[in-house]
Amino acid sequence: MDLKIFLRKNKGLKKHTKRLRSPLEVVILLILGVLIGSFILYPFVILVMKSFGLSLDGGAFSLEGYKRIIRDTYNYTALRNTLYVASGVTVLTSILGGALGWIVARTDYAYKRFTKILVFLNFIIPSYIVAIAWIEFFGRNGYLSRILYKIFGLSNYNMRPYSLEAVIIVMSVHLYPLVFMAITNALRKTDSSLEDAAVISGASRLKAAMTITLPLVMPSFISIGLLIFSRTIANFGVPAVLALPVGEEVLTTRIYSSLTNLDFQLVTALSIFLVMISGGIFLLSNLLLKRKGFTMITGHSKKPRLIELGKHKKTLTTCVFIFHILTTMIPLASVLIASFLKRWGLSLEIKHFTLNNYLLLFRHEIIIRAFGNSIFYGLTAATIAACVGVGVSYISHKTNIKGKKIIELIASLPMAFPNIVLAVAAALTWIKQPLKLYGTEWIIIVTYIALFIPISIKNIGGLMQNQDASLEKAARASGASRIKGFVDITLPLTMPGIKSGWILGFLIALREIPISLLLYSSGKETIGVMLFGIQSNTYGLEMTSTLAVVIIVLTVIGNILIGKIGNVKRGGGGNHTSTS
Amino acid sequence: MSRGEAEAIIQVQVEKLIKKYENIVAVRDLSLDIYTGEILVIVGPSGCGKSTLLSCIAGLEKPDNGNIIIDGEPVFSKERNLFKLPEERNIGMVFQNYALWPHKTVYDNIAYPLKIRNIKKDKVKSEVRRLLDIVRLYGKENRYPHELSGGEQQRVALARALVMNPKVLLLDEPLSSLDAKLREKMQYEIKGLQKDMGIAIIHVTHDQNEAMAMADRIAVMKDGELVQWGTPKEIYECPQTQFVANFVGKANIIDGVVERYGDKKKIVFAGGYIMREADIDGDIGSHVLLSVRPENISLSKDKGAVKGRVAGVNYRGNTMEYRILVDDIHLMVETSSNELYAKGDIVGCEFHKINIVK
Repeated sequence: MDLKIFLRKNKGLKKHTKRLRSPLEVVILLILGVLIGSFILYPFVILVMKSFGLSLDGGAFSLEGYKRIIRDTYNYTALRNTLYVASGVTVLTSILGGALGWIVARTDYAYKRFTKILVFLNFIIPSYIVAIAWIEFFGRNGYLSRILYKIFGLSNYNMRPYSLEAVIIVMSVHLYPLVFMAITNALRKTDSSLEDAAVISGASRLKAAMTITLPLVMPSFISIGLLIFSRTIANFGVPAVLALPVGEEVLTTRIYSSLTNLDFQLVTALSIFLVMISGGIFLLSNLLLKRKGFTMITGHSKKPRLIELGKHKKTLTTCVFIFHILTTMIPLASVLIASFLKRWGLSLEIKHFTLNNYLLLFRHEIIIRAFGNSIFYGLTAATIAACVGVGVSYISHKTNIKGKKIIELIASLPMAFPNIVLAVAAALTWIKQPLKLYGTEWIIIVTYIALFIPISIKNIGGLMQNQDASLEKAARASGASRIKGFVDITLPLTMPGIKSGWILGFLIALREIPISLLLYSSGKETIGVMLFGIQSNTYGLEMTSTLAVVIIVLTVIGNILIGKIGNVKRGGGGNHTSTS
Repeated sequence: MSRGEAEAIIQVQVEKLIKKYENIVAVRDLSLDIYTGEILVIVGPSGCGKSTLLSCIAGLEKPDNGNIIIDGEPVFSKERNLFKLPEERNIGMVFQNYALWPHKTVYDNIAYPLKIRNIKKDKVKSEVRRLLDIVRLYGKENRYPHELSGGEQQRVALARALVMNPKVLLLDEPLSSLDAKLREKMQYEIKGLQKDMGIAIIHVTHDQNEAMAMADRIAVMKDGELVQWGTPKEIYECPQTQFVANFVGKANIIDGVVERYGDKKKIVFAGGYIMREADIDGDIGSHVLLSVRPENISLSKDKGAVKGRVAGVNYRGNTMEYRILVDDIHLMVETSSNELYAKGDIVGCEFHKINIVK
């Protein structure tokens, strides 16, 4: 569109663009508008239209899709299962993460660093890999059945590893670190003298904790609970591998199976429904976070007084260690051991172990290509998302353009979208002209861009917000133009956010399943597709495990790098690291 | 050192208290008595162990050795393996950051100690009202702490600490975050309250001015030990150590030499005597440290055995502040503002009220 015509059309914009000094900035604004409009807004609109039976070519309005969610037993059951699983995970993670968080933040438990490292490890291991480990441990050919047979001679092992409860446990193991981090953070911010004051006032330690500390951390507790709830609802990989085989469906797997039936109206209605749930939860938790501010009146906060566990110390330490063994060590060991087995199902004897899987992995043409694809898609998308992130953050923190909030809101929209919904929207949007991306790698990249933009805004915006406006003003005062000031001052200070965005992009591309699974075509496979589908007649779980080990190692390295880059709140990007 | 009143009752008794954190000794072998109806201010630089001492008295920290007796009742005794929890001690405490509960109103903050003891609603109401009256916050009981000014928050914390009529009130630097004017006002208010209620107050601060203004007695702490205690006047006029002299008020520390003066002794500094007929133990020829307050040095053109040159002049309104260079030492001197000397003048110094310090 011609710039002049555009400006004439948009009087409001013209008024504000006047204030911008250089036409270059207007161009940037336009480019941003086009990118956000086409990668985020357009697919979203198509998705909504489809759910009402409409399309760009017309079609009749109907609520059929939505009606079927309630009417159709399959869908209804999936909805019920989804809520059951999400509630279960929320409760379980609250208990596990809350208790462990309290122990680390407020008691003299001795191995805090160790616990923090293991919790973080749990946080970064993809949930899908935990699910694989679950099967390897509890499955009929799994380690548990073998141990029981070896030690007790039990041969009638019949525990079923596939169930909704398995989904709850695996998801909890994956998500409890979020509660742990939120609670330790909240407790750290809650001055321990508040509790002391209650004790001086005559309350016992327990009563003081219940009447003072608990109410104060409750808002963080609730808002993190809501986040856990919506993250569970959005997950596809775990129910796909642990519940689908026994015919139990949740909304995400229901979307997947309806898509294979090409039932588009139902698929889109289910998608919108899912977005509404997680979007509603997102809003609710934002509301809570805003109200959370009981303004703390702090002068000089002292180091919190740690509760002495005394004679209970040993018992508690043992409990924590058992917990770590169950949640971190066993899953890791399961995957690791399996990766060295010649074939999954063989007994655990030295003669059955081999390094061959790793060699095979790196000689396997498709897998090497998949690695290349994932890296390329991830980095390309992260780069474009970083540009959009810088642009949007700049507009919202450094200018006073009207409507900047709306730009940021639209750009952050994908945050409320489960990955599988993003994939559905992309599939429907890019399947035909004007922009037919289906069958190319660009459909995956474009969807990754949408996925990464909110993360990049969060990372980069956070950094920009903390920069004092006087820094750029000082550059202007020293004679730099507005753009020069941005390039010389603001951009370098924002670089840590951009760099960690690249690593995050790489990490997400390495583990993400539903988007590439729905959108890939032959030759465009990603690592996620491989992880999900490598198990076949040729390869067993041993190859999946080998791939999983490689992914875990790369993830750990990536996260160490992000930590090194520093200055970026882990919560921001980290939240999304494990979305798959 | 005593209060000179035979009937003074000991309210809190601390005996040979030791508190260690891992390898650091925060309080070492400290003994101290606090009498009913007095304000004892414990003063010292940060990290000297004064807050730890307070926490030990409150029961928030468990000491490693010694005894603590409150109101005649042992609350900690290493020998008898006794440690009463803070909630069993009935003491009031105001924290440095007030520790007001942000999720409770003024009323609920003050009522908490009563409610936790299951006291009847009517009684709670009347007691809270009584305290609100005392701290002059009537009408603000439904506010939340963050809706109050600093001084008001301070008074809520005070009311909460006093609502159970404790015999002892512990104040942990509660005035340090107030601005200078408000701080002075609160000092008077707390003093007034204490007189009305007749309780013992142990007040910890690093601000020596505050200590002087509020204390019946001051105890100066350093590195976990009590270095000197007494009335503000005693502490100010007769500091026993260099540290006390410097920490409480300004002081010139002078290195003097003991010389013979007839059959007595005199102390000489920079070629002139500072003190004649000195009644001291030091041998002839030995060095002694002396402390002299700036206002206890008088200047004149002709008198004074010690000569110096005016190196700096500062007009302070009611006083003049001079820096006098004697040998290579700068002496601080404070005179009334009508004694005027110019930079470079040679003046004689006379010393009054000299203390030998360690």
